[in-house]
Amino acid sequence: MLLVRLGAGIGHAVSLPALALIGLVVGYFAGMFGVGGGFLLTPVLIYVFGVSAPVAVGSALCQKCGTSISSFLKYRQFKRGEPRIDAVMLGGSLMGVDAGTRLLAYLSSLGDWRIGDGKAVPAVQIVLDVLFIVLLSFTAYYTFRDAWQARSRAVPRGDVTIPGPLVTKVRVPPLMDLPNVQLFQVSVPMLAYLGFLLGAASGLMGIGGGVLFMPILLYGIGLSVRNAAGTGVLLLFVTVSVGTVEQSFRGYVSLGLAMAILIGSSVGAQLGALTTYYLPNRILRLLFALLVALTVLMIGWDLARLIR
Amino acid sequence: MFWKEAGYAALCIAVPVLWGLGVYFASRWIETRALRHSPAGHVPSEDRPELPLDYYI
Repeated sequence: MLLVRLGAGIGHAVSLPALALIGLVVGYFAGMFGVGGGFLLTPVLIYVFGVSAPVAVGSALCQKCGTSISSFLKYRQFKRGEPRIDAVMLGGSLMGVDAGTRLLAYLSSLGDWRIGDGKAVPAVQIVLDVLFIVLLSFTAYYTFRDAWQARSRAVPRGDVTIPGPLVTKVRVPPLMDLPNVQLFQVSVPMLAYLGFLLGAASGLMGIGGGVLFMPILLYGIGLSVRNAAGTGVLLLFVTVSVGTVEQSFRGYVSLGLAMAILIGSSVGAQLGALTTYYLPNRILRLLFALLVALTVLMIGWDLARLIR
Repeated sequence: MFWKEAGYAALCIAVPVLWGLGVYFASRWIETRALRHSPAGHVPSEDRPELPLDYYI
């Protein structure tokens, strides 16, 4: 039903309604948990639709150009976050996305790897799977721990800035004050390197950074939940745009694939956001940790099946 | 060849961005209409109930 060939990099026809449905589901979880959904989208494209890893990464980035611009405008409307953090991180992030894209191209050129007596599997897929497992395990653990600790917290974390170890322990000059978010003497090089890390993750894995950036902002820098949610959206838009251009020149972006998912996810995100009115924040975070943990299991199981 | 690739790259940015802008302005239009037709009439944005914290990330 409505099978279309969406680009040279995909290699086989893909059902458009199925893509839009996956977009709807990913968008629903994204709207419900307040993340971009890249951590779910890239593995689903690879495992469910059999899209090659570089095209899944490039198309996921392309789709994020649409979601991130509406996020940015919405957060500017509510004047949340600290745009100066975005500005400082931008230089590092642009270098990072370039490095991530080059690394992805290099991994794609490595061909297949065979582990033991197992089947030959593209090297890029093995590396991406391992990276996803490590990153998502870290995110699931911290989210679960935070939601668990929130049971006994008198003041909701949403409104409180608690300077984290990246602010109190990293003292590499120059230092800057961010009075809008009640943070002082923050290391500028530390922010730039964080930007590099975020950009590299975007370029290599096609994630917008919600699963990586939010834990860093909340637990590493110590921003309040309210401000953390609004910080980084401008950075995200610029990073994914540059990443999309780079990936496109390498032939890794299928615009049809990205748009089918984007259309589905636009609807799903609204439905997911409505769900948040009926569930307390702590339960949402526990559910999010569970979803991330399930994604880790799915990737791990598929990887084990592939290399066996 | 370069211009063909550059044109496709530009499309890959422009089409999703236009869609994202459309979604944003459509949601604002729906919010405005909902407020205009609510029993309390127009409510200033500062007094509106908060959206969920991470609504749009």
